[in-house]
Amino acid sequence: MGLMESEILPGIITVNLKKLLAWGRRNSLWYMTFGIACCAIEMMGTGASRFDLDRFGLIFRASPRQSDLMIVAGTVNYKMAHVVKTLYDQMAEPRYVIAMGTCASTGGPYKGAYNIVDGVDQIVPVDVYVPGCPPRPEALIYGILQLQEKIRTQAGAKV
Amino acid sequence: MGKSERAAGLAASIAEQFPDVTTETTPRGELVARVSPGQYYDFCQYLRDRQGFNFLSMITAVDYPPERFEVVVYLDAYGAADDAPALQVMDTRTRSVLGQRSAGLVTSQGVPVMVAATVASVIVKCDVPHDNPVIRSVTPLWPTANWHEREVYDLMGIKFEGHPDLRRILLPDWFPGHPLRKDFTSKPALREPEARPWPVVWPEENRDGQEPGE
Repeated sequence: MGLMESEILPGIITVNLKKLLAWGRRNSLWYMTFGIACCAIEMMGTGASRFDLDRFGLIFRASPRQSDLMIVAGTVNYKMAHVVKTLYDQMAEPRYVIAMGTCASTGGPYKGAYNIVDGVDQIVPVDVYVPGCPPRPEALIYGILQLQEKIRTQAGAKV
Repeated sequence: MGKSERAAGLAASIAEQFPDVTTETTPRGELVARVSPGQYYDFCQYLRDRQGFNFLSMITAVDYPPERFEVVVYLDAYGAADDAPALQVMDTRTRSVLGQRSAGLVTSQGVPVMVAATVASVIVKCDVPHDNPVIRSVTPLWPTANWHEREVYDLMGIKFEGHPDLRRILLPDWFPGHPLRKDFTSKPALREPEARPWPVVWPEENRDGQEPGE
C-alpha cells in the first residue's frame, strides 16, 4: 500500500488518502440483502457460519441507507424492477452492485419471458456478475473478492 | 360406495336437474361437467348448496384459438363420508388412540379436532367465445375465487362479471396485453423510470472487437 515510516518521527506512517479510503471501503462492504428468489437462500448460506461473510467485513443491513453493496440475488420481474431501482437510488455513494446468479446477470433460464427483466443491468449498473444457478457460496465469495480487487485498483478514481 | 359409484350417482342427479349439461368421468373418479355460460353460475350454486361441494380448489382457463376459451373450475366436497379413508385419531400428548374416524369432529381433552377428507371431486368446464370473453364470477359462492379469477383475468383476459375487485394480480398494472393467450408473442420493453441502460464496459484484454455498451 505504500506505507512510509517517517524518519523524523518514528512510529508515524503516511499513506495516500485515496488508497486508505479504498482499503477501508473494500474491507467493510456492508451489503443490503436483496434476496428475491432461490439465490437468496445461497446468499444466506454464504453469510451463515460455514462460509462466513463476516470474516470479510461483510455484514448484512436491511436498509439501503446503511449499506454500500447491493447483492441482487434472484429473478427480477417487471413488477420488481421499480423496487430495485428505488432502493438503488436510496443508497449513498460509493455504492456497488453484484448481480448474483444467472437470472440477475442475463435473465437466466427465464430469458425472453414476458415478465422478466433480462439481467438487472438494464436497471442498475452492475460491478460484478456471479454466474451460477445458484452460484455456490465459494463462487459468491470469489465475486466479492473480485469486487474488492476492483475497489483496490480503482483507488485513484474518486474520493 | 366407491369414488366411481359416487360419481355415477352425482352424474345421475345432475342429468335430472340440468339436462343440457354433459358429464363424463375421468379415470381418477372425478366428474367432468360441461356447461354453457348461461347455466354456469346456477350450476355452480347447485353443486355448492345441494351436493356439498364446499371447497373451490382452482379456477383456470385454456385458450383454444380461434374460437373459444375454456374456463375450468375444480371443486371438491370436503367433509365426512362413510367410506372415506379411515384415519386413526391419536392424542399426541398421551399417545392414546382415540379411535378410527373417517371424518367429522373429534374431541380430545375437550379440544375439538376436525378430521376431514376429500369425498368427491367435480371439474366444471365452460366455453367462452374468443371475441367476447365474459363470464359470471363465482366469488359470491366461494370467496377464494376472488384471486383465482383475478389471475385468469390477468393472464388470459377473461372478464368476470360481478367480481368485486377485478384487476391484475401478478403482472404490473401497465403491462400491455394478456400473455398466456396463444397469440401473445411480443415481450414489452421496460418503462422509462426503470430502464436506464448503463454502458457495460469490458476491461481491455477481454474486449476483442466489441464496443463498450454491446
